Amino acid sequence: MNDYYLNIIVMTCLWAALSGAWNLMAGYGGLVSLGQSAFFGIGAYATAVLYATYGFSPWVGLVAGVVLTTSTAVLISWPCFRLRGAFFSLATMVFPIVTEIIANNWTDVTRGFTGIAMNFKPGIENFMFQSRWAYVAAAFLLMLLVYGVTRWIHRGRLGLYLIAVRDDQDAAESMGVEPVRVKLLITMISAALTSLGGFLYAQYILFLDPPSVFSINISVQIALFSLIGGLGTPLGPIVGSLIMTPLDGLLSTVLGGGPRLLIYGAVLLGVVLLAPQGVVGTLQARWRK
Amino acid sequence: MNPCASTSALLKVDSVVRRFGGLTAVNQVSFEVRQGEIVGLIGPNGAGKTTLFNIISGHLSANEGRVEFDGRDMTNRRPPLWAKAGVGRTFQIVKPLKSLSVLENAMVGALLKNNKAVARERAAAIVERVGMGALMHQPAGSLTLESRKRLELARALSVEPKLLLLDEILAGLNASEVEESIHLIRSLAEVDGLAVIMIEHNLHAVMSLAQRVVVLDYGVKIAEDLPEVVVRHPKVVAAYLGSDDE
Repeated sequence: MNDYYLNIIVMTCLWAALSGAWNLMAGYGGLVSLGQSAFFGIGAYATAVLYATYGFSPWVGLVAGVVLTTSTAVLISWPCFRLRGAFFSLATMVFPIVTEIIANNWTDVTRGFTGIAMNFKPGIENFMFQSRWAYVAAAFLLMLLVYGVTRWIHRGRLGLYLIAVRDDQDAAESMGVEPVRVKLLITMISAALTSLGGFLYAQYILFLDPPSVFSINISVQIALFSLIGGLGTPLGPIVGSLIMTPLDGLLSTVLGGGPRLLIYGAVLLGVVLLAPQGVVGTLQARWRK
Repeated sequence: MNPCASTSALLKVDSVVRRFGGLTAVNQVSFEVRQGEIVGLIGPNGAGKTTLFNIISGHLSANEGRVEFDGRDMTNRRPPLWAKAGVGRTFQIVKPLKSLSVLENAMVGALLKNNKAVARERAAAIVERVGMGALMHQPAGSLTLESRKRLELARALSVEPKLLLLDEILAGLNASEVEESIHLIRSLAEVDGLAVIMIEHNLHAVMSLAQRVVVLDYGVKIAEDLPEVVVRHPKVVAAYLGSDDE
């Protein structure tokens, strides 16, 4: 199989994982975050900066990224929990914008808009590989990890608590559920998983500039894939990415920017009109009948 | 039967005040409830009954006064802590967790003190007990109002409470459903030893269940006595029907 197709497989798994991490917050907790690219970017930049600027192994960057992302997520999302519905989404939209500005201007560390390149020195100690198959395996494992976490949460204690808080916070509290605690917990899990996605992206592409990881478009795309595949289902984000990532790759090589977005929009519109619960949600509903 | 039997109180409400702007919704209200006792809370619309419930479950804070439950000061503690302490409540305006099944609704509360397997068993038993066994796996969003009322009761019971706060759970039920519910509430008090406070407009139910009735009017406790005494109390009659000098 040639690199073109392997690249699409890596990206399909990576997007499925990122979208799956978002699905935990939005699909279960009703926390429709548009700030995921901030978590993604922090995870990516943590490993790139520590490796390229300070000479640390990416394994250190991986841990640092997860810790940094998770603690940032707690700090910035906590105040937003006071906001409900669309207001929460609007507030979280600010995070990628702010982190992108920081990344652009903190040039000593991030090298600003010129971007940061990681020297390719293959080896497991640097999490860099000659064969693309290694990245396929890593991305697939990450997707599997997110799927496993989602399955574990789905209709387990945390999942029930999240859905309870989403459906009716007063009723949930009257049964002993602590809304802020469950929201924080799922945000931390989602941020940590998204950070792992950022790490993998950095190690795979080996070059970052602020818009390539922090852009709000990434946050939107992460959300779209779950919406298309099926919000609040463990398989939804995977199905969404399986449909959209290869389509996206194909369209951008065949058609380029403009027409690609047109078809992209048409697919989204089609799903919203014909299968508003997403592909998986709609199939499940049909199955039950 | 002596309404002031000597066992120590499970719930002590002491001089509680709650204001909304210039309106005093609950004004210096005090009363006590003992284990296994059913207390009726009645009064005209807007008398402050639900506000009082919200204070005894943490959904509203009191401006003054003190609430003690099970020997602990619980004044102005948040709702989850009230649930943990052992207070289960229903909401007058029903609040089903719509995307969960009936069983899962009850499981949320049952998980408070149990692991998932035990919670599932307990929740199933509660759902059966409130007569919703046939609806166990229905999504709560698809239930009729009558079933939603029962679901409120199932959810309140799911936290394994010592005190049950029932806010008009009989409203809108037909006569035979009311009888069923009366039977259930009585068995919860007599068999399970739960204390129950019920806000109820159905006086037949209050008379047949309550050992004691507290009457609120304009936020003030105007009477507290045996049900048959309370309904003849001049202030109560005046509150409900109006008095000559008004």
